[in-house]
This record gives sequence, structure tokens and C-alpha cells, in this order.
Amino acid sequence: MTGTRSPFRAALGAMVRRPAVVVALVWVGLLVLISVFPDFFAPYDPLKQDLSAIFEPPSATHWLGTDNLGRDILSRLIFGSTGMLQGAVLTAVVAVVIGVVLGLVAGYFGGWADSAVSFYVNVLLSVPGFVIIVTVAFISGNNVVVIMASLGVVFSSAIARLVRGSTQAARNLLYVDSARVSGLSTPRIITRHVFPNVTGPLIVQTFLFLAQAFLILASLSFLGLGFDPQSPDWGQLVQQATQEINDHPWLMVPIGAALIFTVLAFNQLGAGLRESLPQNRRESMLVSDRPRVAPKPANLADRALTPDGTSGLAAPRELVDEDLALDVRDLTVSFPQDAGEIAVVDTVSLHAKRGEVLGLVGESGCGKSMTALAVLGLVPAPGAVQAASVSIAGHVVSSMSEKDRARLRGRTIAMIGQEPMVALDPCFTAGSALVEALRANRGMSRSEAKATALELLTKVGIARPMAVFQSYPHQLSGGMAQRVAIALALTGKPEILIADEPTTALDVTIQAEILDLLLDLRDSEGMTIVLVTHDLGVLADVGDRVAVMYAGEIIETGTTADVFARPGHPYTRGLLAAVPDAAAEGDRLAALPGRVPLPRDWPTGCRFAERCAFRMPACTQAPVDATIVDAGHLSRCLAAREVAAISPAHPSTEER
Amino acid sequence: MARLVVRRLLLAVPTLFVVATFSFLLMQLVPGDPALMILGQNATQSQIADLHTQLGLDQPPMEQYVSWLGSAITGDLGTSIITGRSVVSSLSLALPPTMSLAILATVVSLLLGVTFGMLGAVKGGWTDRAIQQVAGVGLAIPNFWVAYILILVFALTFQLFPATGYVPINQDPVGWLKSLVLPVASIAIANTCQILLQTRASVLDVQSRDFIRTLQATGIRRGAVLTKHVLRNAAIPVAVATGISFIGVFSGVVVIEAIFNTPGLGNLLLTGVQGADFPVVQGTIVVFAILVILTNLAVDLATGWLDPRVRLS
Repeated sequence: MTGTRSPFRAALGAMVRRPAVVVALVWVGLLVLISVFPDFFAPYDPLKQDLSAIFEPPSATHWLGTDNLGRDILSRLIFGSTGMLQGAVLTAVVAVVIGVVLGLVAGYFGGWADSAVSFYVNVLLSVPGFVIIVTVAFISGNNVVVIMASLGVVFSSAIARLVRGSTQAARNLLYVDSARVSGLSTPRIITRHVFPNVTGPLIVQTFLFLAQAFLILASLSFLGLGFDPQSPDWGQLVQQATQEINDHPWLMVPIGAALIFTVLAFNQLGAGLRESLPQNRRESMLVSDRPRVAPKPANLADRALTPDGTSGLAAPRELVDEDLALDVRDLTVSFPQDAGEIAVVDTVSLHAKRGEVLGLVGESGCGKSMTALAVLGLVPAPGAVQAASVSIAGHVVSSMSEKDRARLRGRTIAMIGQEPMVALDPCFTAGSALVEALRANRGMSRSEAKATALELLTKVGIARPMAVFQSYPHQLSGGMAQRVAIALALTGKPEILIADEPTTALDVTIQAEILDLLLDLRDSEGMTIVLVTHDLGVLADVGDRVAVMYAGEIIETGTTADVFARPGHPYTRGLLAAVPDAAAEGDRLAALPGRVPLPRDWPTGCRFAERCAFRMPACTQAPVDATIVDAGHLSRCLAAREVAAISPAHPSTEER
Repeated sequence: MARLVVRRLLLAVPTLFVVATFSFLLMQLVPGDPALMILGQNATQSQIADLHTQLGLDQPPMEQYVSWLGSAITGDLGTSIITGRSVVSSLSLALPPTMSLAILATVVSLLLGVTFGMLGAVKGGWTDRAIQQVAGVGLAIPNFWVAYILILVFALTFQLFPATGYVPINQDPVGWLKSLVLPVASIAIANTCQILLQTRASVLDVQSRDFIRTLQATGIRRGAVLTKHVLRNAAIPVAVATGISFIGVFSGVVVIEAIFNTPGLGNLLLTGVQGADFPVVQGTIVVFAILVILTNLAVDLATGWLDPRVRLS
């Protein structure tokens, strides 16, 4: 939290770069100016009548024309703005002050204070706002200050709710706890730690309230309530314009435009700021039916191609295609960023034989999940995929239309993800999800599908399939939900299953069960499994072959036995050395200093060089090609054979 | 779910009680003598005394309160000072036009808002930007201003719909619909934009969730993902927004019914306020509060029906 620019400041900066916000700011600025100094800006006295010049159209002398008594419309608009803006600001101030105090009290202290505030909010929200305001206008004898203050009270309920929520969230954050422990007083905790979190949403809400207050004020004065009927406030101007609407419709235009622009401007300021505030905005997972054609990524150097026409590490041509369940050649995935098109997966080649378990390993941010998604054709927009070829069980999907490709998903290739709790649609039961998938994938009737779904649930090791069939995702445990996800993946009898970190989010005890289940399925169904993981230890037991990814490219590939026994890349050695600690440390590798470079910072030479203990001057000069360590064991390291020769490579004796 | 409904209903009782108490206090809150406010400054002493008796103002406040509340609970909200009719019968006459307006406006806003909100979110690109811009402007148009524009164009110029008035549905269904087109349109413009923006935001949010990826990886077609799963999940916040915009109509009717001379609750409140007709104002406020509470209950039921996490908690 220290040293960096506050997120709110950053949001303000991003906000004023939007053209709509700039226009809105200019309009609001102008409005404030003319309403504070109407005498200076208005060309005429708003009440001065000139019966010789009534209903004049816009002209050089009267920019917006004149009304039924020959009064200058522009001047009336300008003078009318004063009361409108004062009223709106008063409303917003009252709403913010009351709302913030109540929200802070309710959110910070909880208990009865919270109940009392929520009752207050409930009562205020139980009567339509305008009904309250009209009634207040009535009992206050049209006292505009009382009316606007009451509107502020009505609006305060929404602010109280907002501040209460943010305060509760902030209160529970660790740093507030530690502030409390370190003896800071409550007011200091609130002003220093809680308030900064609500400032952004609060200002957004205030802008939206200003817009609302303007509309409500105008409605009131339109009804002849609140303001002095003699004053040219904006509701009155609409009211007067409607009197002559049939003969002089022009009168409706200036006042309508002024109202619409003002409300729009306040709304734009609110929306502009809201969209600039930091939030966990995520891309759509829905695949576009028209893939984007991307230019050449800016962060990739030109590669020398190997004699077989690929960039190396691809399946050798001598392997007959039919033996390969998966054959990916030179797959690149890129996203448009501020700096131009940036690749996150760089000419990756992979292959897996039928019935094989291929491990795809690397730290977070290496591009392994994106590679898996590209194989499925599920890269989120605006990502773009390019490949020499991608073949799935003999189907060359890289040249297929999205429609044809969609037909293979579920039936030829399926996926399970790392967060089983969010992988299932929360609105449908596990059973209904399975039935839907079975009907789509196997064309079954409803009753057939139900029977098969129960069979599948039994097959994935669920003891009480009927109970799970009838359960909604939120009623399932993580392990149970992952079993359901596996059952879903099996509905189309796929030949290839991509398992993207399938055990990361699960309890340690459940992890082994899920891995065993996957292996059983490989054996019973003859499935090929691509196991994406950051944990090399997992692969030691289950993997037939391994592909290690670093910074978007495959840096080593071979049989699990070869790679574990004689790792030919310093990064793989590092991963292996970290295995004993990895389970506890998550993605952080104790044995490797530094972190994976971001795609836009990829160097031309070896991307691992910066963290490498074996670095030589040649490493950083040009892209590093694959070197053969053993037959079928390749490494993208200039010193591959030397690194592999260091012995022993066993994790427990590895020293750095 | 049942527990949620019961809790809501239990909360509704003290809420209504507070609202009723406040509306009773209206007469006490008015500066000076309410009778003078009603009768004007030239009223005679005997007129004032008569009105005091009629309004119960000659009794101690606590007794007035207890007797008013007692009658209100038994469904007696007093009689109008101006028309002499029972407030309950005025309210029951005013309810159908307002509910017609509210329901029609909400149905129209929901249909248009969901359609275009979904369109923008799914299509993206300039379609989305155009829809968003139009919705932004739509939200900023004052309903009373647009009401007159609609009258000018569709009633005065083209004479397609009546400019004012209301025809009960049991008299003439076509006339009923025609009499409501312009007021409904005036209210529905802003409400459509509100629901549209909520739909768009919800659809985008749902599209970014992991289960959308699972569905596609499982072989569910894009069309089915959108119509079955995205729409269903997005419907939950949209239901809440629809409730808010339905309640918003009750604010809008005060102005719109005055413009179109619709004999609804809004008009009743406004004429009550203008004529200092305390019993009518009090009764209207209580009815509005009941309508809001019922709307919120309906929204709770709808959310529970749509969202198993709410239903089964």
C-alpha cells in the first residue's frame, strides 16, 4: 500500500482520458460558472418582458429566442440554473454526510448499530422517493431547503448501504486488524484505512445522485412545488413551454437540451469514474465465432527454422500421425495490448501418443493454461491463435471453422479446470448439467441420459450418485464438484482429456484421489491425458512424458524418466530441486530466485538467462534452439548436455 | 426460502408501522393549524371547530394516534375532506390505473431492456457502444418533458392516441390500451435504459465466469450456452433491477398521471397535497408503502426461484 499511487488517483487519471468524461466535465464546469455568476453570463434580465418581441426564434440578439412575454430564454436558463444546482448540491451533501456516518457506524460496529441502520434504510426505501418529497413539500409549506434536505435523507439510505458494505469488507482485511493491534484509535483506523476504500464508489454514487436530484427538482418545480413560481427554474421553464407546445414547440428544445445534457453529464462523470476504478474485470469466456486475425507479435524475435520446417521440439516426422492423439506444431497465442500485439505462447509444439499422460509443467504465467485453451479452441477474446497445425485424434483443427471445431469439443477432446467450485453453472443441478451434456453429445433421450449420468457419477467414484445428481454445485464439496466436472468431461467419451491443474484447489488428501481417478480412466477408457501442473512432483508418479514451459515456450521435453533422471535445462533442474517444498509453497519456487518475465519483457535470447546459474555470454545474444540430449529428449539450452551430465540430479541431493 | 419470505413479512410489519406513524404525524408536523390550512385564512370559528371534530384534532394526540391506527388496521382510512368519500374507496378506484401503468411500463421495459442489453453484451463492438450511448441519453431524459413531446407528436400532430384521460379495461380494452400508450412510453423510456444497462452488465459478468468455459468444453452449443445458462444467471440481478424500476414507476406516476390526467394514485396524492386533504395523503402513502413492500417480496420470490443458492439457504 505504500509508495504506489493510490488506486483512486489512478482511476481519476484514467477517467479524464475518456472523451465523454471531458465533454461532461466541460458542461458541468460551465454550469457551475453560470449558476454562480448568472449576472455576468446572462445577456438580459430573466424577468424583463418585451411584448414587442414574443416567441422570437433564435437570433443574434436572442441566442435561444424569447418566450410568450418576450423574455430572453437563454437568460432564464442561466438564472434558473442557480437554484437547481444549489438544490442538487444540498441534496448530495446531506445524503453523503448522513449516509457516510450511518454506513461507517453500521459497518464498523456491527451488532445492534447495524440492525438499526438497516431498519432505517428499509423504512426509507419502503416509500417511493418522489412520494416522500411531494409530501414534504406539502407539510413544509414549499420550503425548498427542507425539501432538498429530505431528498438527501432519502438518498442517504443508498450511501449508508454502500459505505456499510465497504467498511465491513475493509474491517475484515488484515491490515485493519493489524492497525487495531498496533493501538491506533478507532477514528484513525476509519480515516486512514477504511475511508480510502470507499472514496471511489462514494464519488460515483454522488455524481449519480446529482443527476437524480436535478431530475427530481425539475419534476417538483414542474408541478409548481418547491420553488417560487416566479423564478425561472428549469421545471417552471418546461411547464411554461408546454403551455404553448402546439404553436411554439421550439420552446421545449432549449430547456429539454439543458436538462438532458446536465443529467447526462453527471451520469457520465459517475459512470466514467466507476469504469476507471480498479476492479476484477475479466474477459468473456465465450468463444467468438469469428476469430481475430492478429499481426505478428511484437515481442517475438524471428526464429531460425529447423530442417523439418518447424521451430524445433515438434513431434518427429517419423511418428505416424495416427499414433498421435495430440500433435501441436508451432502454436502461438497473442493478445493486443497497449504496446501492440503481445504473444503469451510462443511457437509451442507438443505431442502425445494415445493412452499417454503428457505433463505440461511450469510456474504460473508461463503460458501453460493458455496453451491448453488454444488446443481446445477456447482462448478468450481478444486472443488470437496461430499454428502450423493442431491435430486432435487425427482431426486437423487448426484449419477448421469455429463451428466444426465446437463439434469436437466434448466428444473428441474435453477439459477439467482448476476451480471445480466455479466450473459448474450454479443455477442447475449436477444431474441436469450431465443430462444436458449427454443429450448434446450422445443424442440421448431424457431418461436414457439420466441413467447414464448416474452411471458416470458412479464411475468417477461417487458413493451416493442419486444425492449428487440432485445437488446444486454450492451444495458440493470441492472434491465432489471436481468428480462431477470429470463426469461431465466424460459425457462425450473424449479421446483426449485436458486437466488444467485439476488438484490445485483441493485438499491434499483429495488430490491423490482425483489423480488416481484420472489414471484409472486413462486405463479403462484408453484416454490421452494432458496434465497441466506447476508441480513436477505430481508427474513423477503419473506422467509418461513431460513438456516443461517457461515464458511462453517449451524449454525441455522428453520421457518423464529421462527428464527426471538427467534434466537438460537449468530451469527443469530448479523445478526438480524445489519439489519437496513446492506443495507447501504453492507457485513460489524456493530454489529459483527471481520471477518469470512478463511476455512484453521477453528478451531476444534465452528467457531464463536472467535467473540461470549456468549463464554464458552466448545465451543472451540470439534465440536458443533445441538441443538433443538423448533420443526424444530435447532441451532449449546451449549447455543442455553439460547440464544433463551433472549428476546426481535427484532432488534430495541437489545443491545450489 | 420459506424462512426468507417469513422473515421479510415479519420485517414488513414494523416498517409499515413506522410508515403509518409518520403519515399520521403529517398533521402534527404541519406548522400551525391544519384546519386553517384546509379551510383558508377566512374560515369561521365554527367551521374550524367542526373540522377539528371531523379530523379528531380536538382529542389529545395520543388518543388520535391510537384511534387512527386502530381504524387503519381494520381498513378504515377516514374520509376525504374535499370529496367526502371514504379514502379506501378512492384508493381502490385509483389503484387499477396506476397498476396498469406500472405493469405495462415494466413489461415493456423488461422486454426491450433485456433484448437490447443482451444484444449489446453478446455482439460487442460498435453495436454495443451505440446501445450504451443511446441508453445513457435515455436515462437522462426527464419523463415529464418527454411526455409532452410524445403528446405533441402522437396526440396533437398525428392523433394516434388520446392526449389525456383513462379508460377502464372492463369498459373498453382497446381504449384502455390506447389511453395508456403515451403515459407508459413516458415512464418506460428511462426504465428500459436502466434494465438494459443492468442486463448488459450482468451478461458480461456471467460470460466471464469459469462455468461458461466448462460448458463450451463439454460440447454445449454457443446458442444453448447463451439462451439457457447466460440468460438464466444474468436474470438474477436483472430481476432485482426490474423490481427497482417497478418501484420507480410509483415515483413517476405523481408527475405522469398529472400530465395525462390519469385518475391513479399519483394524481390522488397530488390533488390531496394541493387541497391539504390529510386523510387522502395519509392513505395514499400507506398504500404506496404496501405496494413497495409487496414488490420487494415478489422480487425476493423471483430471485429465490431463479437462484438455488438463495432458495436453499
